[in-house]
Amino acid sequence: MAAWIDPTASFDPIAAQRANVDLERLIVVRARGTHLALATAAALRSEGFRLVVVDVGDLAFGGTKIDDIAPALPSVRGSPAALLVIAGEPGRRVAIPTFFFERVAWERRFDRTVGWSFAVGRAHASDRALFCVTSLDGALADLGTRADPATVAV
Amino acid sequence: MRDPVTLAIVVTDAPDLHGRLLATLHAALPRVGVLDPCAFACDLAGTEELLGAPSRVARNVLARCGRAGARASAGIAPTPFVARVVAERTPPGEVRSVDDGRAFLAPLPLDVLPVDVKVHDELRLLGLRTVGEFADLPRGSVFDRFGSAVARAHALARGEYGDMVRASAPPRRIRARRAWDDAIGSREQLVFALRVVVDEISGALARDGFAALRLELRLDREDAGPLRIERTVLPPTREAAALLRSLRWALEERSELGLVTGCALEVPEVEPARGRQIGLFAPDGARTEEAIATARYLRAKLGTGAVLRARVADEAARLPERATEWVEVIA
Repeated sequence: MAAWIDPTASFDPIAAQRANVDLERLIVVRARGTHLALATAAALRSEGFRLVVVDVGDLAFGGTKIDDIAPALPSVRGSPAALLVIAGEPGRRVAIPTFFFERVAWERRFDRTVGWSFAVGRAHASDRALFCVTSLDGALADLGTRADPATVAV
Repeated sequence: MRDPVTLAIVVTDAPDLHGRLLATLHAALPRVGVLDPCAFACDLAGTEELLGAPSRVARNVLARCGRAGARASAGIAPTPFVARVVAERTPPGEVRSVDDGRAFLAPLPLDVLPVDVKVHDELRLLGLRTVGEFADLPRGSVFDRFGSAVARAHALARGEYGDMVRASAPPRRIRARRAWDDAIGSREQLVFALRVVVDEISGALARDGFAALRLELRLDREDAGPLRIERTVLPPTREAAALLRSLRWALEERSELGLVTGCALEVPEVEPARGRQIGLFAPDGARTEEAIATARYLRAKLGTGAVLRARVADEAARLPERATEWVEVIA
């Protein structure tokens, strides 16, 4: 089982299903504000989850800051679950291993946005892994690794 | 150099007791190998000062087997093969010791040797009837004519082949108990009292180089029956703080603990102390009922519309809100 903490109610079941997520094994928790840390800690402390995802969302759309989950972080140690946090910007109070996702280009078909290609890497490393994902087939295409994403055509 | 001594235990009349006998032998002997169902071997070389003479060890083992409900026979010999043959030819409840394996095997029929039936027939055609006659053949000739498998049987017949006893170490029981004169009614006090027990467990794990994978806690209560709590510790650890934290979380999930007068903490499953990759996407040990219990707790805290499960109703729906359904995990 996995828990998806979703304060902005932005979880898209169709996209998740197309990405081969088994929705029967996923519990979505719409916790906001101080309840975000509570829900995260409760999921981490449970024996029932092996993955806890926190999508803190965008502040402009009712999201919260990554620092708000700081009280739950001690629960990671000793928890049977892995914690994955998705945030627009790195936290100031929390220090967790971080990967940066940078958009390279939108994928468009017939004037509609159907996906995006993006680069993933560590903060201080120059190498970036490039991927492309579209909603058409839900498959994640591995585009290889580049030293400088700026050389990728946008 | 230690003199090779092997103890073989054979039970012929109680095939159902194999598992129980193995546990019994594990409790009495350092390393026990399984030769066949209800046939066991133990390498006793170098254990005389610790356990006593092999014949005494054998009698103790037979007594234990007798208490387990099996009439076993014991054979002591320099090699496992000879010890087993000795045990198989000894009446139940008795111990027989053989020093010269070759001399013991010599008058026995060829059937005792572990070789193919065709080889048996061929040896009979050559006029051989006993193990001794076979053992007297030149080693090189046997190898040239029959190959390595029969050459190994030839070495067994000469009492030379000191095959290793492939044994497993007995399962280690890591357990700590405490009883308290005054019953503990507070959760915080109980966690504090458990710290001593967890430290003891952590020390035992550290001595053996293990990390706990599962914990079983039994709380004896004054006003109710024992409370049993099981925890999986992932990643496995021997750190007292992490073990205590796992137990504390389990205790916090219980609304009422009662008056606790004692505890027994056991580690039923361990791993060598090293890292372990959690199976994120495999059907792993995550317990659905635990996940539902957490969902119930969060619903009580967050109210309705907060703990949900998504379902795709119509992927091709024109309106996004009709494409998916959200249902409460806890109705």
